[in-house]
Amino acid sequence: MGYKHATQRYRHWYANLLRLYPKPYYERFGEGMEQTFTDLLQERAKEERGLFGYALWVTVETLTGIIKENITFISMQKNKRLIGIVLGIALLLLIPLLGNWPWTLSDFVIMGIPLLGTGLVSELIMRRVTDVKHRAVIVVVIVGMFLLTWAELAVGVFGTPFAGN
Amino acid sequence: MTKNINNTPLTPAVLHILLALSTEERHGYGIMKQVELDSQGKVKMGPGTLYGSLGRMIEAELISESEKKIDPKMDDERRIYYKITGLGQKALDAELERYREVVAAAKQKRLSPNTFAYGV
Repeated sequence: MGYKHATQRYRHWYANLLRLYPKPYYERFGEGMEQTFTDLLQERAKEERGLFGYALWVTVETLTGIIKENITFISMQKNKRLIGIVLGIALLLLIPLLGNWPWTLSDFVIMGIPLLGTGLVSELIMRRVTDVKHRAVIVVVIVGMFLLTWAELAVGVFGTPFAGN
Repeated sequence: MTKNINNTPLTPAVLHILLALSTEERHGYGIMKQVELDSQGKVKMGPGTLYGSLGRMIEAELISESEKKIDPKMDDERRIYYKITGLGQKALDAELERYREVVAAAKQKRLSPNTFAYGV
């Protein structure tokens, strides 16, 4: 009876630990891992061997896997977002190119650098700032500053020395 | 992405998982027990290592998930089974061939465990 109770307790503990895996990984393998862990405990219980030490070893071993999978998942996510930002900027710069706008190379550079800068700073904010509301406010401010800069360079809304015409 | 399976050595975990699945489909616990048996207890892995390897092997198309079914030797819980793919079988064959070549080279140099260095 003692082994049964201990197995259930460790299974419950292990099921909670598995939730630390990235969501896609947990959804795919979580159930199988929990079953395998329970099978291993039940095998040891039948042989009347200690469960605590083994459960501890499996916990440490699984934590290593959790850290590894989370690092892989986060790095993939971040790279995907960055690639999306760069591709988005490239698509935006295709508009004047395909629309035969009277842009010179310097116009593309003057437009491209602030766009890329805005994108990269936004990506940095997304990585560093964890609070969703703060993140949204900061990104809106950055994008707003870019749009004002663009408007000034294009049509000179503020009449600065950099005003366009 | 084309994988050059004939030139890429397999890690011990991947090799033993492929060996375990080469004869029949198995679930996670079954794979662990077979690996322990095949390696005579030398290769021990926990669920974290096993499923991490299974995930990467599925991505590399060396194995695939089979149906979810009950193991008659165990309880009534339905378990996900895994099976080796054609690519996995080729990778296993290539790895075993590599091992055979290494053992043959070692025997030629009289380095096998039961042979003295100078053929005494």
